[in-house]
Amino acid sequence: MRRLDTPLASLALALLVGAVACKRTEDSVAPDTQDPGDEVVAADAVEWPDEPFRAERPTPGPIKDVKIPTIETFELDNGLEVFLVQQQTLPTVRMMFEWDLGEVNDPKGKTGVASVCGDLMDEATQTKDKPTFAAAQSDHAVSVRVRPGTESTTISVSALQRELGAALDLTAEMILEPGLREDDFARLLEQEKAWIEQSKGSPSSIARRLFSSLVWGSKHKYGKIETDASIDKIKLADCKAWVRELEPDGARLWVVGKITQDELRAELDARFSTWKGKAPKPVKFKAAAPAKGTIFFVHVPGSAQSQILLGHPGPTRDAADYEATQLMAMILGGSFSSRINMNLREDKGWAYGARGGFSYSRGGSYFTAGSSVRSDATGPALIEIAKEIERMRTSDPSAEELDREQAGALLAMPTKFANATRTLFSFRSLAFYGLPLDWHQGHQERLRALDTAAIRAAAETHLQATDHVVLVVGDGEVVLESLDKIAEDEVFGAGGIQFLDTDGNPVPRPSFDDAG
Amino acid sequence: MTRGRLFRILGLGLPLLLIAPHAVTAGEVEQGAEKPDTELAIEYERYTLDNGMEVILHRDTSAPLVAVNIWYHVGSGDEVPGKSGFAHLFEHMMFQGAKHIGEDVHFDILREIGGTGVNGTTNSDRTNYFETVPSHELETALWLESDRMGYMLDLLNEESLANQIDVVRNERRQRYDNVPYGRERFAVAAALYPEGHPYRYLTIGRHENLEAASLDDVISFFEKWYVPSNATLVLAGDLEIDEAKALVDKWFGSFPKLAKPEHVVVPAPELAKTVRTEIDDPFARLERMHFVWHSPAMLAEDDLELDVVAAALGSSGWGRLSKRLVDDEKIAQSVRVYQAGSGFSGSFSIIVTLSPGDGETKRAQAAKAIQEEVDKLVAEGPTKDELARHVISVESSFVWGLEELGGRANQLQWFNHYTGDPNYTDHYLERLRGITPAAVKAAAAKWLTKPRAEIISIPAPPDAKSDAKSDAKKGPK
Repeated sequence: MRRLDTPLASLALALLVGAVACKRTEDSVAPDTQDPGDEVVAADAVEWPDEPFRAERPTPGPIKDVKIPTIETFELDNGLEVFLVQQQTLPTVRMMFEWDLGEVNDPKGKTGVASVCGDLMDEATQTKDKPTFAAAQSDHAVSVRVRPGTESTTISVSALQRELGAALDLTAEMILEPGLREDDFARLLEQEKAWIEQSKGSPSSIARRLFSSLVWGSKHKYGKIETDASIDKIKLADCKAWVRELEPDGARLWVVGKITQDELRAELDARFSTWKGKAPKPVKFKAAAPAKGTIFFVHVPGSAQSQILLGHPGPTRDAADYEATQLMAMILGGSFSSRINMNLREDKGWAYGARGGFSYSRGGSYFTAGSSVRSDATGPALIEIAKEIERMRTSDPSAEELDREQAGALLAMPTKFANATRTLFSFRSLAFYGLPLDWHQGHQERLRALDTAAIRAAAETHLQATDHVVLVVGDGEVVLESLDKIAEDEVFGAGGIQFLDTDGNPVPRPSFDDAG
Repeated sequence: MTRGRLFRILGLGLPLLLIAPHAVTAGEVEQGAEKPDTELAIEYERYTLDNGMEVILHRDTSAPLVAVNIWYHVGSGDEVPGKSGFAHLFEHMMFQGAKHIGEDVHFDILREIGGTGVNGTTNSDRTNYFETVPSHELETALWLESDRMGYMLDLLNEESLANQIDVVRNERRQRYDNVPYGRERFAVAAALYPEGHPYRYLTIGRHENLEAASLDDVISFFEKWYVPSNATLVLAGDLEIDEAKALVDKWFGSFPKLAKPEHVVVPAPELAKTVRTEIDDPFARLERMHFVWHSPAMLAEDDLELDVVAAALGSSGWGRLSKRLVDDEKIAQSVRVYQAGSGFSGSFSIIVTLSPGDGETKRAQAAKAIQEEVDKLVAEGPTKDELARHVISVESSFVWGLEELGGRANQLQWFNHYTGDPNYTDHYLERLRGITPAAVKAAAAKWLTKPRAEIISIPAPPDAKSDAKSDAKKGPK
C-alpha cells in the first residue's frame, strides 16, 4: 500500500557497463571503548524510556539504485561459451564448467552413473592417485570438484588468485587425463550402496529420496531413483563413456573473480589447447505422470515426527504468469510469514516449520508443500495444508499479503547482485532456463503490475483442487487411522492409500495387531 | 582506536594482497619477496554507548545493503540445572513481538522491506540475531531490534510461550530425535559433562525442562542477560558512519545503564577413565564410532594446534586416518575429525562411519587404527607438509570469508566476543603461522593421551517391531 509506486520506480536495475563502483572507506577514529563502569542501577528500579517516536515505524530513506556488475560473454575456439564477472576487491577466482549432462542422462536401468562417475572422476588422475591428487589441491588451498546434478554437471574450481595456475593445472589434468581406476571404482560402488542404505533410515531422508518418483512418475527421467540393483549394473566402461561426454563445444564456463578476459584466455589457452569435441545437448522430457490422488505411506516405527510432502505438476519456468505464481506461492508457503507456516507452526505448534512452493526444472515444475510434523498431528496437518491450498484457490489474498510479498520481492532484488559471485549465479540460473540476461528488467515491471486478482488467477490456474500426490513417512501405528479417514474423505483425491517399502516398492498394509 | 590496519576491504586503491609468505606450497620454495605487509583486516569503528552497549560499524558501499547483527553475550553455557534449553527457547520468544512493533510481526515487516537472511541462533556462548536490509531501511531494522531489547516483556503472554515451547520441541524432534545419530550427540555430552554442567544437555535441552519453562523464567532471564551492556551491535554495509551513529543513539542511546551480568565459568572435569557407551539408533543404517576427548576452549592455548591434528587425521584423501580407513582398508564410509572450542572448554572428536556388515570386526579394526594414528601423531607430530596445508587452508578460508557482508559482520562479532578485539584476525594468523610440528606434537600429547569417551551408535532397524527406546547401554570398556 504505502510506497509501492514512486520509490520503487527508482530501483533501477540497469545493467551498467563497468565494474562496481567502490568507494574507499574513510579514515575515522572511534572514541575509546569504555568499560560500562560503576553507575549502574538495580534492574527492578529501572525506568525504560518510552519516547513517542518508538510508536511509529520509521520512514524509509530514498531507495538507492542497484548497480549490477557487468557480465562479459565470449566463446573460445573450441566452442566453450564463457561468462565472466570481474571483481577487484578480493584476490580470488571461482570457475564453473557446466554441461547439460546429469542424472537424467543415466542409461536405462543404470540410475547412479552420473553420481558414481562424478565421484570417481574428481578423486584422481592418471598420474596422481587419490591421496596425491587431494594433497596437490591442499598444498595450494585450491579445490577442483565434479558435481553431477539432476540435469547438469559442473566442475567447480576455486582458488586464491595467485594459486589459480596450480588449480587449473590440476583441472586440466583431471579433464584430459582422468584416473578412473578399477579399484577406486569398486570402492565407490560399495560406498554408494551404503549411502543408499543409510537414506532408508529416517523419515526425512526416505521422503526426499522417493517423492520425485511419485510426483513425476517412476518412468519419468526426473523420477528415477538409485537402488542397489541400478548401482550393481554400472560398469567402469560406463564411467569412461560418461567422462568422455565432458567436452567443450556447447559447454558453458562461468568465472567470477579478480581476473580479466585476457588473463583468463591466456590461462585456458596454456592448458586446454588440445581439448576439443561436442558437449551433450539437453534432453527432452515427457509430461509428468504422477500417481494422482494417492496417499503413499512408508512405515517407520518409533518416529517422533512424520515427514509429509504433497504436490502435483506445475508450470514451466518461462510461463507468462511466473511472477504471479511466485508471489502466490510466497503467500501460501514460501516464507516464515506464509499461511502454511503460520498455521502449522505459530498457530498450532505442530511443526518447527512448514513450507510450500514450486520446484522448477528445465522440463517443468511441481508444486509441493510439506513439513516434519509431530506424529500425532500428521493427519490434521495434512488437512490444514489442504485447507490453505483451497483458500488460496478460492479467495483473494489480503492487500497486506500482496503488499508484503510484492514490495519484498522488489526490494530484496539487490541481494541477488550484492557481490560478483551472487551476480554470476543469478545470471547462471537465467541462462540455465534459456532466459535472457536482462530478464530482471522485465521481471520488475511484471512484479509491479500484479494485483490481488492476478494472484488469485495464478492460484486457480496452478494449484490443483484435487488429485495431489501425497507422501507420508512415519509411524503407522500412530498415524494410519487419520490417514484412512483422509483417504476415505478423498481430501486429496480418490486414489486411496498405497503402502511402500523404503525403496518405493508396493507392500501390504503394515499390521499392528501382533507385537506390542 | 581499534581499526583495521592496512587493507581496506572494499577500497579500490589498495589491492588486497596475498597472504603472507609461508602460505606457500608445501615442498616448494617460498614465493619470492612477498612481504606480510597486508593482513586480512576488516575496517571498522567500535564504540560504546553510555549504557554499555557496544557498537561496531563497518562501511562498504558496493551494494545498497546493510547487515544488522546483534550478539547478546549469553548462551546455553549460562543455563542453570533444570533449565536446559532455555537460552534457545528465549531466542524464539524474541521473535514473538514487543510493545511498539506488535505481536508476531518481525518476519512480516522484514519481508516487506526486502530483508533477507533473517534469523537468530543460540550456542553455548552467545545468542545472535541478524538480518540484511536495503540500506534505506536501516532505521526500520534498528526499530525492530531496539524494541525487543527494550520492550519485549510488554507483550509476553502464556499462549505464545506455550506455542514456542511446542515449536522448540518440534525443532528438537526434527534435528535430534528423528534423525540418524541425534542420540549420539546427547550421549557424547552426557559422557563428557556431569549432571549440573551446562553443556550436558546440549543447547537444545531436554524435553521436560522445555515443557516446564514459565513466564517467570522468561522475565528473569531477560532482565538478567538482555541488558544493553551485554549486547554488541554490528552494522556492516552501505552506511555513513555519522548517520549510523545518530540512528543507533536514537534507538538505543536512552536505554538505561544496567549491570553487565557475570558469567559463571564451569570448567570441564577430567575423565577419570575412558568410558564407552553403546546406543541403539533406530534411524541409522550404518554403525558409527565417535571418540571424543576434552580439549581447549575456543582460541585458548592448543586450540589452533589441535586443528592441525584434526586436519592431519581427517582430511579427505590425504588425512592419515581417512586414507587408512576409507581408501586403504575400505571399512569406513567417512571419517571426520575436528577440534571444537567453546567458551569454557572444548572437545576433540574423531567420528568414523563404518561401511555395512560385520560390525564387530570393523569396530575393532577402526579402534585399532584410531589408536595407532593418534599415538603416531603424539610421538612424531605432523609432517611439515601437513602443517603447511592446514595453514594455507585457514588463510584461504579467511579470504573467502570476506566476500559476504554477513560473513564480515559475523567475523567482527566472533572475534570481539572471544578476544575483545574485532580484528583479532592478525593475531590469529600470527599464531597460526607460528605453529611448529613440535608444538602440534606437544598439544596432541597433552590432550589426546588422556581418557576419552567412546560412543558407538548401532543401527536398531525397526523390523523387529521394537518400540525404539533410547535407553543407553552403558558399560566399562
